[in-house]
Amino acid sequence: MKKLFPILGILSGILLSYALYQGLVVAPTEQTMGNVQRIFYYHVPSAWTAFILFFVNFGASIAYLIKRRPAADMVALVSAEVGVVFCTVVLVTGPIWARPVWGIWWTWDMRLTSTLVLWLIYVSYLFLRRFSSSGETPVLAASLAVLGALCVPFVYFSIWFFRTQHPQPVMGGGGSIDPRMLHALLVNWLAFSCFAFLICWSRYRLEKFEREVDHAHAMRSLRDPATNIEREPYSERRA
Amino acid sequence: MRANPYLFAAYFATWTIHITYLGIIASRYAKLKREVNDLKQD
Repeated sequence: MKKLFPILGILSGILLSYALYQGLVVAPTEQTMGNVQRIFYYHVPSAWTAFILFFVNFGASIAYLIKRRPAADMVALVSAEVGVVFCTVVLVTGPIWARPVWGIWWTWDMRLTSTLVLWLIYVSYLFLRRFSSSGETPVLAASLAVLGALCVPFVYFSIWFFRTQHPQPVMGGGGSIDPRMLHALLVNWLAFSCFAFLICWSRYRLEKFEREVDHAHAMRSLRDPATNIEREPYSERRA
Repeated sequence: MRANPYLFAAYFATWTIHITYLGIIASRYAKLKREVNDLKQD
């Protein structure tokens, strides 16, 4: 497993470089928007990756609520954190694209507002995980994650159900796309998915390590209570 | 392809966000390793 990580890291780097080349060089320039449209090759795959991570968080939260296994709780925490990072990319790159195309940075239409609400739900989830030291925190967080996941389909389908300024979906929206553009988009999605998997893996190892150190400190303080004077659990110090 | 400041800004922002997050993970990992070394010394 230790050898697999650097190999996957190198493969992911190569894939990201190839995806960048596809997005900047191979894909043709869009006629109305020009080169600004190439922002889509980062914006759209980041959104899809964030949605997948939020669904992983949903599945892991359900698993934790049923079986109460710490591994499921760790997967839920890690996927939510990395999902928030990708959702942040979506919320930053979207306005950068909108400014030259729409003439405004932001508008309170359904897709943009619901994406912001989704991001806020998962940020609250992470705040809950970090600042609550109650033993029931993982259960409360898992319940919040179930609520957050219900928001994901709403965000995705909002452009079908409401009149919005946001462009129609790339696939399944009835429009057509140049095959080279579609290829660049899918390659970028694959590259960002691999990258997200690697980050999740690193973050999972870190979380596991933190819990082991917490456990070691707890055992040590049980043996010698005097050593616990200046130390509090890692989960609380992280706040 | 002509350079576009908005395109550059979007790509730059994306990688800044990812690299910052990776930096946070790396610093937390390094801090934990120091703590484990301290634990071993005690």
